[in-house]
Amino acid sequence: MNKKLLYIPATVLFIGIFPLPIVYYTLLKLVVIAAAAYATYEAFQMDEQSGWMDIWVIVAVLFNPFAPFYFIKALWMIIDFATAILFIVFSRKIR
Amino acid sequence: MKDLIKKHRDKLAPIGLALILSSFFIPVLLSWMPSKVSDLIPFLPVTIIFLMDFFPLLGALILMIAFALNILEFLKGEDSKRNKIKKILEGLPWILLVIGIFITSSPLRISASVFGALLIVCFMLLGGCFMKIIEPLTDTWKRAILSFVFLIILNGILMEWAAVNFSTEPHQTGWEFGGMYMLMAAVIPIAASPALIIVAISYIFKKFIPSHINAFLGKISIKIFFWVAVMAMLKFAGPTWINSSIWS
Repeated sequence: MNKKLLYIPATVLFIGIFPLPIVYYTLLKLVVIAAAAYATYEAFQMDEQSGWMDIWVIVAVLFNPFAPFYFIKALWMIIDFATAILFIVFSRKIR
Repeated sequence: MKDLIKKHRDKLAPIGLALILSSFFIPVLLSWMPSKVSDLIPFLPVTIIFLMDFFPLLGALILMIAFALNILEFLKGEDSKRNKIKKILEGLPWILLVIGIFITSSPLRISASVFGALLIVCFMLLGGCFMKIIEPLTDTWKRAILSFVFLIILNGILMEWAAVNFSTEPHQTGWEFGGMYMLMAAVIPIAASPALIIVAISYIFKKFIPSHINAFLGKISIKIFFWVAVMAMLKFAGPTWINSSIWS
């Protein structure tokens, strides 16, 4: 799979910083959890001791749609921004 | 006896920890016991209370023996100096934590616990570098469970410390430790469920899944257990911490 695919969740997350309808955030969670699962597998193949696997598991747990976490908008903005940056950094790390 | 201890040296630390943890569940046994049983065997509740006091002490003693044996082994062995120091540092904070928890009615209790807990955090930070710090925590099931138990204990100790020193409300000493066990009983099943589902999937479809995917599922189940447990703990304990910060 192309590593540029990871730019999709990053873009979705950057857009998510703005106040948008709740439907968008449901979709965002699905996109992020799928991308995090893919990134976890990539991290496992790359170097399973690098710590990236743990980071993607944390992201997946945080964005899971099954038992969602409820934070204030300001906190979600920070989380969205930081996760988007993580996706970009990781996409540059994988071959 | 010496040979027996030598042979089962690796099992000493888990046995010690299990004894300490088992003592937390003994009061539950006592509360569940029907009155007819205690009428029939009148000395049973007294025995259980005795075990409740005895088990942690025995567990702490076994942990200390395991620690001393490990030190002796490292001093004699041909391990590198860095590894020796690393392993001694790894054991020392646990001992301090155990001493801190079980030496009651002493100012040592809180300070040794907090000091031990901080040392463990420092060791974890020194042991790795950058993101490699968090990876060893979820390397194996044993490490993940121990790390989570440590986090729960750390949370309980810090909450107790905050309640004793900063709370303006009346506080019953030790209450936060009680909460710690209730938290453990709630969080561990939540965290274990998704991890066990993944383990079950990898086991059931073992023949159909390629071996590297199976290895991936095995690794990821540990990480999911640990991080779901940490997140769930934060979800439960977080609001209490935010309320506590209003005290100061």
